[in-house]
Amino acid sequence: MSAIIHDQGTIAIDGARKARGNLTGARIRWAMVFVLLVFSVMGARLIWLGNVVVDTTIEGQARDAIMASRPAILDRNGLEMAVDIRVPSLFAEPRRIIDVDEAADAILTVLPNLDSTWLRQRLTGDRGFVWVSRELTPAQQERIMRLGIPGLDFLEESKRFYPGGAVASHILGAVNIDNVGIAGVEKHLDDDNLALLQDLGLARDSALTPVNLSIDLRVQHILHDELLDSLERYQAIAAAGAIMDVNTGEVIALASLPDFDPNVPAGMLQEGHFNRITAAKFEVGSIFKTITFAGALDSGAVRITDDIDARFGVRFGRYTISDFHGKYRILSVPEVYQYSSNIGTIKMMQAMGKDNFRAFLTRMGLEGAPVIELPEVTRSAIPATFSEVGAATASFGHGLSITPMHMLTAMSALVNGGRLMDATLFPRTEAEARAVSTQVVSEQTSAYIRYLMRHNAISGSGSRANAIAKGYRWGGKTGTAEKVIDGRYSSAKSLALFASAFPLDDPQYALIVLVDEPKPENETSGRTAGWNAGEMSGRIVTRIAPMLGVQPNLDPMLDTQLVPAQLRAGML
Amino acid sequence: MIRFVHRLNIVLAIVAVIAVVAVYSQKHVAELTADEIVRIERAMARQQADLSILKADWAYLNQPTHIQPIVDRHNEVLNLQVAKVAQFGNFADLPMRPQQRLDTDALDALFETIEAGEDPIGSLLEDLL
Repeated sequence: MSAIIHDQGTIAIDGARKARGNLTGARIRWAMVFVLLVFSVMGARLIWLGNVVVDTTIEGQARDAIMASRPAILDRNGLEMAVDIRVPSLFAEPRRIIDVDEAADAILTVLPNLDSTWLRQRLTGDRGFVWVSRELTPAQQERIMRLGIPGLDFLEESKRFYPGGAVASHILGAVNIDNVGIAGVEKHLDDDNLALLQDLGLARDSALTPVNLSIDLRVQHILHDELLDSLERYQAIAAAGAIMDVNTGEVIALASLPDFDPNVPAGMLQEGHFNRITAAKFEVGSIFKTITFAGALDSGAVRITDDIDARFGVRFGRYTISDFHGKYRILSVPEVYQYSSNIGTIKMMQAMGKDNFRAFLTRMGLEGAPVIELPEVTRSAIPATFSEVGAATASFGHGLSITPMHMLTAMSALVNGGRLMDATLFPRTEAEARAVSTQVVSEQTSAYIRYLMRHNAISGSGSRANAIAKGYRWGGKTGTAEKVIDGRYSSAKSLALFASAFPLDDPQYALIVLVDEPKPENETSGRTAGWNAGEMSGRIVTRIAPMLGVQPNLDPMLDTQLVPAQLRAGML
Repeated sequence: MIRFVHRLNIVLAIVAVIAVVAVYSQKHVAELTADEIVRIERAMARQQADLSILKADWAYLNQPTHIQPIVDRHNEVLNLQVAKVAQFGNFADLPMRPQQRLDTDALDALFETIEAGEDPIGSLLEDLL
């Protein structure tokens, strides 16, 4: 193989090798062009694939957000209050369904409660994803799988389950079908950046650490149980209660009836099913006297040894305020508390001065909404300045409204040595609580209040309950607030409250209970708070104290030691 | 040279065939493994779902709200009641163990006789045998 090239007269003869070399060179070039072409096609395809946006949303929602789980909620001892369970949800890919009618009929055999025309409409079309039915049981999933319809598949969703049912409903709140908290602690957790984690797709499976609450589920159950009992026993329209650790501000239990089952959150919206501890304000009545007493004693205007003239009602123009259980004589300070004398309390408030009294209410944290990790809170209603009459009625808890949570927080401060701290639903140590607390009354005032509360339980309106809770050194103040019906205070409809603490020689727990519109239990029983809210408090204390590690002690010395030194001399 | 290229071509062709077979089988194995991964992941998801339900069940069975009605229903047999104050006690209330008095004089006498070379217990045993 050779080629003869004539070029400008000279003749060059290429050898066979050279000719083959040229040919090889041409082949290599062609090969390179071919390889380049193939690679550029591949590269272009890669770029194209890289730019394809994969639609991970399911009907407008991120797939991760739907499959996201929520952290388990545990009580202070590690018992589950809310857990996630994985449940299958049925979805369809309409573009892959061959025979819509056949598919719809088959699905209806398993899920008969679906609407037939709605289902047909849902399965028709060219969409890639439609929900058919969410949160099925494993048995339903099995049966649908056996139908063998193409274009149907399941997605594992997280569903919130509250094993306790209604027991802690107002604490936990609820979630909607997309697992988003809509009330209670669940909503608080979402507002507190869980939602962000879910959006980022990080909140998956068991990666989330469980959240501990300060609630003790056993105590919570007893409180709930006793409240249920009181609804029946006193035919009340509502009842609520809360228990707080006075040294840490942790809420140990909180319940408000009527309530709802968080597994069926629709019940939450029913009339009257709101949280009466934080989201309702009341004229709390006589239990407020404890706060007036603390203010008057702490200001130094009244001493514990003073005598108060309660012989005559207090006149304001045309009105005269008198006593419910009137003694109409000169009373000592403990007697004013024991007989719940309105006259005596007004006199003590007046000795302190109404402006000082108003300032003291702010100091006790009664202003604004109660501080707690629940979205359902309401602001208290206290007049910015008091008139003479306003201050007088306020001193015994009328003409101003606060939530029971305000009262409980203030009571805790009054018995724990005067340290006011915010209520919390999450565990907190005593040292942490101390760091965020403010001293609102002196240690001495706190000791006086403990004495007065115990005194009232031994010989005042708490004596019926004290007989039940014997040995737990328990005491408190009753309050029977008459309700305003058509602008007037009604004697038939009232709100019974009891704010108390135990054991008063070493205060640990404060509790407040309220019964709305109680009726007498039987012919012989009364209608005032000592009979209903008081007795219920006593029953709660006997049941919860052993669980909370409070040992009963019948030693009379403990009560004697509570009596302030100035009064002890007079007694002996 | 040409012969060498020839041989090289043959060797390369064989290598290419082997490579094709190897790559294909690799791909096949990878697919099988991927299938297995999917299968195991499904099994895990199913077991996690089962586990979550069992956990929820356990939590439900442990709830005070669930236990209380059971206790109430069987209270005729169990007779469980709220503990009374008198039923509580503490260690300080326990009486001390009664003091055991040692008869030191008799012991001293015993040791003296042993030291003196007599063994009253030993002789007792000997008498028995």
